[in-house]
Amino acid sequence: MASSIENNNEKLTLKSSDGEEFLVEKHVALQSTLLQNMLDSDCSSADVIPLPKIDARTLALVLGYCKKHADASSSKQGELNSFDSEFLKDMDMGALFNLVLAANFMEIKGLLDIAAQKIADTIKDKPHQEVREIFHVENDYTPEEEAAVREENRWAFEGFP
Amino acid sequence: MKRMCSSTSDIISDLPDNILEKILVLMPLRDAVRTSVLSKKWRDNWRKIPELAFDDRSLVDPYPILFRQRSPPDQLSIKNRFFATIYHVLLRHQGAIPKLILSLSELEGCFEIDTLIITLSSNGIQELTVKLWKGQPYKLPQSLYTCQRLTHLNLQHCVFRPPTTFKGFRRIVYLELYEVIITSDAFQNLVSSCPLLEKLKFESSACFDYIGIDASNLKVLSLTGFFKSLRVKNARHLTKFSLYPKACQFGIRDAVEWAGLLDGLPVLEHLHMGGPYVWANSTSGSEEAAVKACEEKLASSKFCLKHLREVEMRLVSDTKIELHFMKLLLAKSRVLESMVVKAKSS
Repeated sequence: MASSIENNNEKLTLKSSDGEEFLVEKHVALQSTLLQNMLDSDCSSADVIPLPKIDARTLALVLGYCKKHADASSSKQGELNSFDSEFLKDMDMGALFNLVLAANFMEIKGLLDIAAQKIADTIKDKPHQEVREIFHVENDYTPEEEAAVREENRWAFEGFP
Repeated sequence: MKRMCSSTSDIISDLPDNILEKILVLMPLRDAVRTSVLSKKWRDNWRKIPELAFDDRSLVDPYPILFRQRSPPDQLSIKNRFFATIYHVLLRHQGAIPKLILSLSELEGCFEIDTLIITLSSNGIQELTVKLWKGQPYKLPQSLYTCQRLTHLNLQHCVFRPPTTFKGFRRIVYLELYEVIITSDAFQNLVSSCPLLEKLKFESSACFDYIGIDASNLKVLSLTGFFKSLRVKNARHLTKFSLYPKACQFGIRDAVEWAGLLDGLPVLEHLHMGGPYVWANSTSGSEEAAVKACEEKLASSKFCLKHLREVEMRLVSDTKIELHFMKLLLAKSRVLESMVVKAKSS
């Protein structure tokens, strides 16, 4: 960690799957455990770090999140919480899934948590037909099989149509 | 390698297992189990989640109107109903359960909870919550005290009476005790024998002669209750301290301790307090002694609150000691950003 503090002003370059390059301050990049481990393991910051699974639009969002969290002091927890809830508001499902996958790949725990929570909140309390429609899940059960699964877990379906 | 998530294809079903697990853990257990009906891929997803929360969100009917009976159900039928579900889930579950929450406002302490804890303790439970509200305080089974892999423990309305052979929890980092029946000695032993403890919350309406806290790794401490005397030792890493003594008829042995408490907290950043600020049976002698202690600290060039950034004082009633204490905090804090003072409503 000592070296990362000394080189606080250094920047590194990240490259998205669609070839766009992002110049990022090191302390912002350190929000990602993946990047932190790469930097710790002697990976020169002069190199361009390719992120072949993350497109430019998603990477820009991810870095916006990292910057906000890297710059805020711990006393501003309330401010960060409202930033987090605004951050995902009105985001479409496609963008949300890109984000959750990017957060998982880059190991950014806070972002993974809020994105997963948003998906969980979209599922809960809804009838399963509606959940299938929202997420385009194809029902491959026969009616008999579906009834059997409901019967297996009867307690969870009490009160649901 | 380029992969775009379009919003018309089924992406959720193909998410990596760890993300799916996380999503399922973040909703009530009832909803997680209900995903089994989405498609064949989803049938067994919920069975591998590493956290099970048996709480009011999942085990109480979402539409009670459909099932409402004329007379309220008795405790036996409530218990049988809850445990039929709990056993069903546990039998269907696959893999380890490092985290379990039992938090049911309608359930009373019973033998079935003993069995659950005994089973969990022999399977290496790491994070355990047992929160109850009703009936007699629940006496925890002896096997709890042998759970050496516990990192988080949260108890409410339980009796904590460890055997004499109890050696503490070596790995615990988070401990929360709310209305738990425990003696002063057992509490002190518990806290001092958890070497990794970082966060401690304790709230009780019982009266304690003495609360001693010796925890060198502690970062966050919150105490609410009737304490005649309080001492915090070795809290070199404590950054957040909340103290809400509940009533003054018992008083703290010696009001000087307000100022004295701050001595052993070199990295304190947040201080939250509630009245009463005058203790020791409110004899005028003790208040004068407390004021004198504040003045001595104020005059001392050695005393300094280097890291204190935020103070909240609730239930302030305009006494001399409160004003002196505020003066002391303001004078000796170098980086104080905010100080909120809320008066006691009369």
